[in-house]
Amino acid sequence: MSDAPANPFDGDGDFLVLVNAEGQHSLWPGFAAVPEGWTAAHGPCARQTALDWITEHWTDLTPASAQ
Amino acid sequence: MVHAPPRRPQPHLQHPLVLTLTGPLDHDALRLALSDLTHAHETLRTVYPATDNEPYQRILTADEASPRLHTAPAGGDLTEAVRHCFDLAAEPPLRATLFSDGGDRHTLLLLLHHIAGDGASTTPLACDLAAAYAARAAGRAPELRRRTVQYADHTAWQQDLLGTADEPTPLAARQLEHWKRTLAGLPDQLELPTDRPRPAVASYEGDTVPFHLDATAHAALERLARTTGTSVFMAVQAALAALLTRYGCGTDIPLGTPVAGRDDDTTADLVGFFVNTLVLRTDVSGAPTFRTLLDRVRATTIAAYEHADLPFDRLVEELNPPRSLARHPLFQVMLAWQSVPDAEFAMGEGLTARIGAVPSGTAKFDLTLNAGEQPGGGISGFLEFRTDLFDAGTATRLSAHLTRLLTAAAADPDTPVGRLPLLDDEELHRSVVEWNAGTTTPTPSKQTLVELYEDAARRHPGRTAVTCDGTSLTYAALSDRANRLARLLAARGIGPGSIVALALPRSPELVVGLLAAAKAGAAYLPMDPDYPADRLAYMLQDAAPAAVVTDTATAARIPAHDLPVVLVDGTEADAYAPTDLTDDDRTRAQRPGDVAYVIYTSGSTGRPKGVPVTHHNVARLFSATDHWFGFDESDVWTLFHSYAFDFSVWEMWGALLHGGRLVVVPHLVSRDPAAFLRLLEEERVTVLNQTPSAFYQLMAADKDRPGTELALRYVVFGGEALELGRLDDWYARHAEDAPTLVNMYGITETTVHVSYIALDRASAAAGTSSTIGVNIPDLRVYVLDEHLQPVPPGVTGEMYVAGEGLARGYLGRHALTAERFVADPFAHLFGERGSRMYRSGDLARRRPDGTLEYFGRADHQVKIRGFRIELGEIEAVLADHPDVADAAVVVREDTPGDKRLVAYAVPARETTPARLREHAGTELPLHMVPSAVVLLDRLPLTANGKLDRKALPAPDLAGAVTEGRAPRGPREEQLCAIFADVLGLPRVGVDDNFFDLGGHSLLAVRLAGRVKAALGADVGIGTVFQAPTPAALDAALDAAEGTDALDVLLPLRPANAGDKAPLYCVHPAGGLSWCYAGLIRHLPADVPIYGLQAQGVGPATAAEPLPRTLEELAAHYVDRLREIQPHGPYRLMGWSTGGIIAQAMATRLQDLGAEVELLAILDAYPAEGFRELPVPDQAEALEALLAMGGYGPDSLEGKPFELAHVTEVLRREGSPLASLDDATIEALNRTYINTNLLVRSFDHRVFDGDVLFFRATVDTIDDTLTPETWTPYVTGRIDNTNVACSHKDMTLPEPIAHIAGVIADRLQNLEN
Repeated sequence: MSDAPANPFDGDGDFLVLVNAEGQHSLWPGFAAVPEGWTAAHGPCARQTALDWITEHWTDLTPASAQ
Repeated sequence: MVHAPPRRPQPHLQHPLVLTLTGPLDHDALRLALSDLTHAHETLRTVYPATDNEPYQRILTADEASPRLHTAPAGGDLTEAVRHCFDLAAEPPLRATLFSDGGDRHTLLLLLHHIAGDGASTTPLACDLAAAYAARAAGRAPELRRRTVQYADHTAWQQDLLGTADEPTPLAARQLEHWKRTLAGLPDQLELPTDRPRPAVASYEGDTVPFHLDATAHAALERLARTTGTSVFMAVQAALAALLTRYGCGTDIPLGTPVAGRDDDTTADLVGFFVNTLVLRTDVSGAPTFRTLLDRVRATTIAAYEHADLPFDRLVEELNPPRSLARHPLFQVMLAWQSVPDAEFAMGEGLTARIGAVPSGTAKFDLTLNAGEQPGGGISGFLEFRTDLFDAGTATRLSAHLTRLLTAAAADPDTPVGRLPLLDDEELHRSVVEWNAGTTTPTPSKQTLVELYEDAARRHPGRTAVTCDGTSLTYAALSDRANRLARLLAARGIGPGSIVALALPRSPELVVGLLAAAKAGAAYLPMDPDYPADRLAYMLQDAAPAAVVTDTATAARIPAHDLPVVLVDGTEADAYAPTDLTDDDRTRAQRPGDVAYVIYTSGSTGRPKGVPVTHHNVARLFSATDHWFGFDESDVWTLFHSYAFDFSVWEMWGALLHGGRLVVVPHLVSRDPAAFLRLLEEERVTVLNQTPSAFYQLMAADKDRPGTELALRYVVFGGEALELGRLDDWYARHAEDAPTLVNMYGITETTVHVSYIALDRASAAAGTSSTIGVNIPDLRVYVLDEHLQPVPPGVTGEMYVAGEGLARGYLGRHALTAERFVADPFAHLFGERGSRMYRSGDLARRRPDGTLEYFGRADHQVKIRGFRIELGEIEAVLADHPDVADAAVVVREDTPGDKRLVAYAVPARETTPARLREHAGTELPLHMVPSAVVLLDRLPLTANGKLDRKALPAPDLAGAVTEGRAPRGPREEQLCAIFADVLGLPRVGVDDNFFDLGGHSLLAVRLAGRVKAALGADVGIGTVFQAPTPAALDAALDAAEGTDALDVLLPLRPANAGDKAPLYCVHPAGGLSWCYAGLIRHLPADVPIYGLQAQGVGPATAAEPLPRTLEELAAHYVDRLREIQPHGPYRLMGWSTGGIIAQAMATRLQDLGAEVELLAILDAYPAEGFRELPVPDQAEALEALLAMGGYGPDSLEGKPFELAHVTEVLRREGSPLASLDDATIEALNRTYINTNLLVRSFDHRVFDGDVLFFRATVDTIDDTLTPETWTPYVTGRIDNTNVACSHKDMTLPEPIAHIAGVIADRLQNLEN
């Protein structure tokens, strides 16, 4: 029922997987510039591919600095 | 085309032409020139008087109309003069005012009403004035060009071209077809981001701000237009549509645009209203590039111009969109594209005139962009806006954003329109950085909650830390117990990095257990034993805690598990030391980045997910908000919420970190607002945290028991949207600062709270939406669009939260974490790298001052038929009613595709849903009035104290139908049936309100259509709203038509222009023909239906003598029907005695030389059969009355034939006949006996034609009564149809439907 604009993280299109120095991962829409302090670790690829990749590669939620 | 004269002042329908005159001015010459002008242009001397409310045009002679030159001092109030209201019935539509002090500079205002002129009239008007003045100043009569055509010729021509609404020309029909197709499903209203809610009636007050596009961008647009086969106008149109989409208006954008309507030289120099308005519908869906959008615009615009002849007013009539005084129909944003006329011209010797614009102070549309290309390059104009909707600041931004978007689109047309820039650098910086600026307070060094607690406990060992139901613990005692338990946990190997499930009732032990977990270094997982077992089992399995801390009683209640159990009421911990733990006592050193708790949140979809929140996350929540609250050891807090809801984190640590007292609220007290209020008073609570739903209930309890002595300093709202309007009632009884009410928006994933606003009486009174204030200083809130760009102020976007409160993510759900906790693209602006932001899924907008307003979940946005609806606003209106203690409104979709607003109200005193609906109807626009109100004892809340929407019952609409009295007449009966049909209910009572039974504005349109189809009565939607019950609607129709249900001629379905010949239905012995109402639904809508009823019953004929022969009676009826239909062919039918009379009427009509094409006889047999029957008496008359309602003598169940018993039957059966008064029944009895006697002495004559006969085949009394008994009196065929019912049942729904079907077929054959 929602007429709200689609969220860029929920849409179709290409996605990247970004990783920061803490080892935290972020889904990222392909159209947007990669923010400072993040590097693209995977993609561009489909959203589900990116999520599957994250499930496989990100194994600890604890940030590196807290380990 | 005659425009209806305005019923109220309409200064927005006037066209001001302002001439600045420089040079010596000859007043007399000007006066004469104005006369010349009126002489030359008929429209300027046409007035519009009305007779019988029908306006007509009267063209005055030039002398009669000679305009007065009004004068005013130079510098006089031009705006006031522009707002002059014409009385078009008497006053010519041109008014001239000269502002002059006699020097060489004058201002001449020519105010032209739209009825007489449009924008393009300016040129001929100015030219002729200049020529006339020049001549008059030189002492000559001017030679104004004689117009070979006048405006009136044009209107005649237009009528030839298009015909009328009833008889359109093929051209008009084709154009209408185009528009119907093009505009199908158009949203009723464009949801512009207004600064104020749309008032129910537009004020038409307006103002303008400039619009400008520089020559470079203009040149680029021209190039783009050239290469794409479009025009600069189309490019501006595309950009305006794109801008509106970006401003949250959706992707289906209708724009209005005027077209000159002057296609040849003969009309070019006429003064008159030629202009027409087209609707340009632009589809901005699917993220098009500007070039693609321009392509779409070209196609729709060209098609629109090809169908530009059909006047807009007629289009509106035909499309019939829901009308409202709040907005313009079909479109609310206008794009007027004008070429700028030669601005300066000579008015004769020494005098020059310059045409200038004057702000009219009005606005016909929400927004109008009025612009055109400048001769020297660039585009200039202005944006006009309704001041009841917009502030000038917003309009200025809109204008500037359009310029920016156009400039960028011209430079790079292949950019998706969603990514074209709107904000300039300054605006971007403001929305991202300035509005997120923290206070100057430095962030303290990171600490654990344990360090902070122990510090407070050391300072206040003797103060009470926890109170619960009469028992309490001092800080020293609490520490002792928690330390022993923590040491026990540590001894079991539980420490930093572990999770401990905590399953305890609301008790001091709960606080002990929680503190012990923290002291050991473990995160606690709340397992509220009141939560469903499934949920607890799921959490145990998902979070995999290292142990369960519980008590003996609760241990038995939690789902089976094989984890180690630590009992807080056991003796095991007694063996451990009561002193504070050091890192040496823990499994490893504790750090602020360790997880303090894992709280599960349920999303809208999927499984609940655990959110690990760190000590630092919580600790900084208090330090970052300390400047607002200044909590200290004197504060008393309640632990009101379940410790599984993170609002409890704020409550618990708020008390314990500051040395304050925590009052654990027993479960039963938390569910009883009155008891809770007493607890607040007795415990001297100073800080209360509440969900708005819970607080509304508390407010009601407080109202019931005024004078409660509260010690509250703060009431902090969180957990759901607050409706500011509902706080009025609280402020009426409490000071603004005792307590201070604070609204805090929050998310579990960013640690309890995100924003803060202290409320006061004024903000509560002013606010209709939920203001959530400003970010907590160490958090940042971004309101972004779908391309992660900040939205302009006032535009709704999604909230993203960054900063120190972000939790680690979702326990064990790494992909989901990466979806929701995403890279922060603005972090570098705050000196950070690689940090994250949480996307909340909540909608918000910034006010121009940066304050945040919350609009609920992105996935739960309430939108019904294009209207964005604020449920809270409706709730506030209902809660405002003195009958209401509490209210909630939801959108239900109990029938798929049928979204309805349903209100739930907890009555404060005896009330009815109808009364509350009516109240809502007086306060709210129609689309916000709930279709049903359900009364509840109390609103269901979830365990977290939020409104439990799923537990709200579906409204029982059928159960809301009342018994009430019987219908008063056949039409009322029909209306009940139509109401029931439209509402999808088995039946509806006469006094049942359409809207209370689930009717809404869309259904009201359907109802009106059905009433028109069934009864031929034109019912406006407005009538349905004013008269929403069958009884009221019946009365409204009566008032409109002046019918009397007892008169001889009863219009069951009155004739309308273009209808076929009516069917006349003659009453049976009982005297009334209401029984034929059932035909209405089954005969084609273009067959009018009239009943003929006995003379001497209704007031119109009560004084007249009864007829003495059946011939006389039939002649009278024939006279009456010929009033309706002077010429044949006639169509007659009659049931029972009515059949005899119908045959008599048919011969009478043939005597008069008229054709009778249908004679239908329903189970009636020739009159001579009556002669053998006993002379009628009162009882038989009453039997006939019953029979008219379709009831036999057996319905009396053995009771004697007395009036009281008969009416009892009628009433019991819901017959409209039950409503007849005694005098009428007496009159009916008299006429019954009279008619019976007339029939006995009547000799049929021969009818020349066929008869359509209907024979009742059930319970026939006399088998010799066959259709053939008519043979002697009929020359043609007697076509019989057997109807399987008894004689008295022939007009019941099923038989009458059967009969109507046969009659309809016969009528069809006749027409072929």
